Amino acid sequence: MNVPWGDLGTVLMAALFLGGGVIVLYAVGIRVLSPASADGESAGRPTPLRIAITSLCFAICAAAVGYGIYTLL
Amino acid sequence: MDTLVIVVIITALAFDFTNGFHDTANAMATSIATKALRPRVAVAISAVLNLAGAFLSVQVAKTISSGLVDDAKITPAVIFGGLVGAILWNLLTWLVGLPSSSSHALFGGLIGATWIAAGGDAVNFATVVTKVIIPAIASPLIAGVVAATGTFLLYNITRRAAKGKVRAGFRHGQVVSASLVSLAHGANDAQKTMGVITLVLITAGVLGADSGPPLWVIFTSGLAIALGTYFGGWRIIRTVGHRLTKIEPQQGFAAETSAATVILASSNLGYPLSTTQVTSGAVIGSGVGKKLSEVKWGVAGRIAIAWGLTLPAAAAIGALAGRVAISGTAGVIIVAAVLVALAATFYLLSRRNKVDRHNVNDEPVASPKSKSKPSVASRYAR
Repeated sequence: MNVPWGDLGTVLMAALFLGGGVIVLYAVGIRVLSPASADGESAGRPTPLRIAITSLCFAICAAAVGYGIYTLL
Repeated sequence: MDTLVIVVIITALAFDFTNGFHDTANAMATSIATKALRPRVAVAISAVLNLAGAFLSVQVAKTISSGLVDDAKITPAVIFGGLVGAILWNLLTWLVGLPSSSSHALFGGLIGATWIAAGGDAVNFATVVTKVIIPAIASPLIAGVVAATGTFLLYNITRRAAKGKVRAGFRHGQVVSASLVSLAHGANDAQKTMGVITLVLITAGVLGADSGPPLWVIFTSGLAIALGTYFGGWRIIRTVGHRLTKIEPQQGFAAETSAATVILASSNLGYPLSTTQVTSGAVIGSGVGKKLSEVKWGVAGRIAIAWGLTLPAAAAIGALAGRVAISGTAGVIIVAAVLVALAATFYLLSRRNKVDRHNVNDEPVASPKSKSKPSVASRYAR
């Protein structure tokens, strides 16, 4: 019996880095876009720099989704 | 076309339908639970994406059994028996609200029916272990680890962000990741039915050997799984969305993103994992990542038991159905009649404790009557 432990390990590592990466990037994008005051409420509109950083994060996430769809083909 | 072939095609599409409504929860349970999407909108989006997914690839459709059984020894009657085993197990687990694997039910049914028709030599038990049993144990663990890690990091990163915006942001993200799971589900699971129908058409001489699925097979398989998805397996959606753990949009996003990544990574490596087990594992992982005590381990344990039972139970039903079906036309008619009668019975039982889009997000309230004498469905779905 040939159990493909290597494949399972690859799935785990790929999911950890790619899936975890997308989650972290999206969270960073949300964090940068949502500055809060001390009471946890919104601290006004985000600056252009914050918007740019968030856009970059979201664009990478969108590319990852696109790649995911591509792998289905 | 032979009558038996038509019966098997209809039964395969019926299985595809149950596969759709049984697995709606995989993609949309978390989005419905967090109210990122209204229930009807969620199942509509999932249905469309399942249909679209069916057209993306036909690679999996080339083999229905993935080497678990000797395809050369499969006859239409054997496939019919296997499908009956899979359908009945899917309906039973739907009735009690347990997210079991439709793929394992199909494999189990085919293994049981093939074993009874062609003997144990026709079943490749080593492949069963490596392609079904080990992935069944590994997939929820992998998805759980990824989701727990992602959830933990996500909450820490967004801890000091504006709470309202965070929730809104993750609601949007969750819709995208859940949609990707729907698309992957359509691409993977609809192909199994395409493979069944294609093999039946080849054995009946309608298609040549090594033929791929014709367009009408791709379309009907995609349509059946999409209709099933739209019908919505609300009982299982409630279990995954509410009873495993209390889900916030952040957790829903982490769970669905983890599930999508694990499914796509394993598909890419040609390693079949159950989308149901991956998603359930990811939902549990998202609960662990936020707070260990938030996971209802009793419910998780019942789900794990259902996973363990799926293959042998579907195999047993498939073997019984296959044994009767291979005896001739009368046998096929008897099995078909029993299937319809049991499906109707399960449906009527489900009406006694109805779960639909209107009450899928309600917390269950036990009435005095139901407290004293709970129905079978409500007892297991708790």
